[in-house]
Amino acid sequence: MDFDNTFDALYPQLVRYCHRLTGDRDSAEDTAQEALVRLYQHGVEGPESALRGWLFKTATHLIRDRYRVDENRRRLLAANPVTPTRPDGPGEAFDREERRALARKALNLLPERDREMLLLRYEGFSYKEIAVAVDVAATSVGTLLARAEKRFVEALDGEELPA
Amino acid sequence: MTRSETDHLDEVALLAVRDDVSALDPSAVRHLEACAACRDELEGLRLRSSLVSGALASLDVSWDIEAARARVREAVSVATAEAAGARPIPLARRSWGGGRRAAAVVVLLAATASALPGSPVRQWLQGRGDATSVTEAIEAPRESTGPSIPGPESAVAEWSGIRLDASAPLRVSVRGLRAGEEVRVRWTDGDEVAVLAPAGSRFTSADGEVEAVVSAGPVTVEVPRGGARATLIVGGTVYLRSGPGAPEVTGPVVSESDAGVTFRVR
Repeated sequence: MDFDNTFDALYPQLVRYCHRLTGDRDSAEDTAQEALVRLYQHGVEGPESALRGWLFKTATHLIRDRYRVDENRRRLLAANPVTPTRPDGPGEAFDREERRALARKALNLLPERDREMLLLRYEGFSYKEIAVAVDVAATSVGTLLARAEKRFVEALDGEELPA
Repeated sequence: MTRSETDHLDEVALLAVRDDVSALDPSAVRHLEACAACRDELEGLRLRSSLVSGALASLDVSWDIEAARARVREAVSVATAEAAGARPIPLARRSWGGGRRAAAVVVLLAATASALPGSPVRQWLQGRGDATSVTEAIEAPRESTGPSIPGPESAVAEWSGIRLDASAPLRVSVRGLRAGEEVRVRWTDGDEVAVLAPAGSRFTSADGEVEAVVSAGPVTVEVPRGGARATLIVGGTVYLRSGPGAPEVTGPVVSESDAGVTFRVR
């Protein structure tokens, strides 16, 4: 695929994944861009599904590396507080912000790998693709995903999401 | 050990059913059909999926995809050019239209990178109409120049350049050439002015001006035929002025033809 086709097919999904994973807009854009640059630097070719797998795995590792240091992680979370504050606007806007903050908090409570797997699954990755992207045995993906999803929902329930 | 049809399905098995990941064995299928508890469990997992999906969607923000496309395209060009050993060209130092500046920088870097066989940049540029035409126009002198106005020398292994919209008056200043080196002006059918010089040359652009400090000659300047208002200044001396009428040639001409003019620096 040429640049535009690859970009159109994969960038929106990739930057969304990176943003969900980090909670940081700039970091998501930087990571998605870096992954695409590496795709071309390495001359990776193949069908869209293969490029997608390569890009998401690369992005996942870039984010892991970037936020491996606890201090960086704390800085990131501090820059994206999870405690909602009531804005002056209408209640609908508050609910939206509150839902976002609670979802972020619930996601941040998950271990790194569980978080990655959950987000990949909800980007439409198959169990096999998830296994490759996060370096786990394919036979373990079902069990790990079930646990991640359950923990995420428990964390959400614990915060009583607004209707 | 095989499961009994009376055994309930565990969460992992039900998740696989929900996510359509793998087929259940026949005994599990029969159990699911018969067991209200497992079907309720499966329905619960489906509701859970909706909850997770909605919560994750609440995190999403809108993105300026076209701005991202431009940034990524430029980053890919720069990275690939650097990997190929090309020297990055500095961006404009004064205020200049962002898109215009980016286009020029992308073009000159991509041109260098795309000259490499198998370059990924070459491959993806081929799918982009405007970039392809620009790249081919830069590479064209080696293949299509007439005998009187050759393009960049084939002996020059690497070269770089800048390309600018010629719809407004433009001053092109070339510095760094030594006596005896050539400046070749080629008339083109495009609507852009281009300055091409051996690798190591530096280009600075600003409103209506471009300055090339070249590492060596020859320098090729492409000027659109008929109407582009461009002034070529070499070492502080005006060599050529083009405009709506016939070009005014004031530099030290070596040869001149319909294809262009060649000057030799004194």
